[in-house]
Amino acid sequence: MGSSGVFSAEMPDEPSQVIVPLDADTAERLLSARLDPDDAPPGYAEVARLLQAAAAPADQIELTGQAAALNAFRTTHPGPTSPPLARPRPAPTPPRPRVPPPGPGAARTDRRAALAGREISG
Amino acid sequence: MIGPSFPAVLAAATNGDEQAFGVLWRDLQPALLRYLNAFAPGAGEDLASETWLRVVKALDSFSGDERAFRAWVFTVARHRAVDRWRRTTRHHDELVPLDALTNLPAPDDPAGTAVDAISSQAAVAQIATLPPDQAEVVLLRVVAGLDVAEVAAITGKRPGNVRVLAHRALRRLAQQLSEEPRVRGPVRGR
Repeated sequence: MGSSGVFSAEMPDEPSQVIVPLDADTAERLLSARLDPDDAPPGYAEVARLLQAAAAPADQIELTGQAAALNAFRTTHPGPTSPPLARPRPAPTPPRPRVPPPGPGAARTDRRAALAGREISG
Repeated sequence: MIGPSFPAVLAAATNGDEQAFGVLWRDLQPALLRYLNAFAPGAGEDLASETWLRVVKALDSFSGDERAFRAWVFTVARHRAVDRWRRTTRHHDELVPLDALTNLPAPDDPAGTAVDAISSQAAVAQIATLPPDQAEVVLLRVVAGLDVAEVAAITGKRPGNVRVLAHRALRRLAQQLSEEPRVRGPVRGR
């Protein structure tokens, strides 16, 4: 029963709005939220308003996660993928001075000592 | 849409420029949230974050224009939503089949609110009351701004099928809005 004491089934039906078949162009304009509700065919003015609301520009609350997103970008980004343009070439490396080879068996001796140490301790 | 500066913005973001990434994020985040919240009410923020992580990691592998970038981001988002559904189903902590998600009351259910102006959130919630395949097509067309071919590629449907679903959705919305006096008042975008 309705609040006015009348069963809803007894209430007179509101005249239902005629919903005309949509042509492809009008459907496309609705779906791209470009159809002005005043220009919508019968039955589609509210759909046009609804779809325009759905496609409305960002609400500030939808952008509140920006700081977290930038932080995640900082930690996730794999790094630059290409070098900056006009990067100066590094100076050519001067030739290494020839170092006289160590005394006979020096490296081998060190290596043996290390291996020996491992052998002793292990 | 970012427009003519998109290639430079994308290149800079790919090279690690935070400001450039911020431009991409601000352009797409609202639409991503609206799309994801419609399919997983309350989980949109998490899914959008997961989406961006994937996007950032794969930025250097992307090549294409702004429309292609947009379609790619929404493809990643859709995969995140489906993965989440599979995960939660396997763990039995949130048994919500994807097809049933749109039947859940949205956070800002328009049917429960007498409004003389409708927010984007309420509008998306109204769209989410459509059958899931219709709702997804409308959201990708209207909210994400994608065309028929792009939506077809993302959803794995034929373009003709996408058109039919969109047409049915529009008719259904018209019927719903003419039958529900609560949402029949003046509606405006922001």
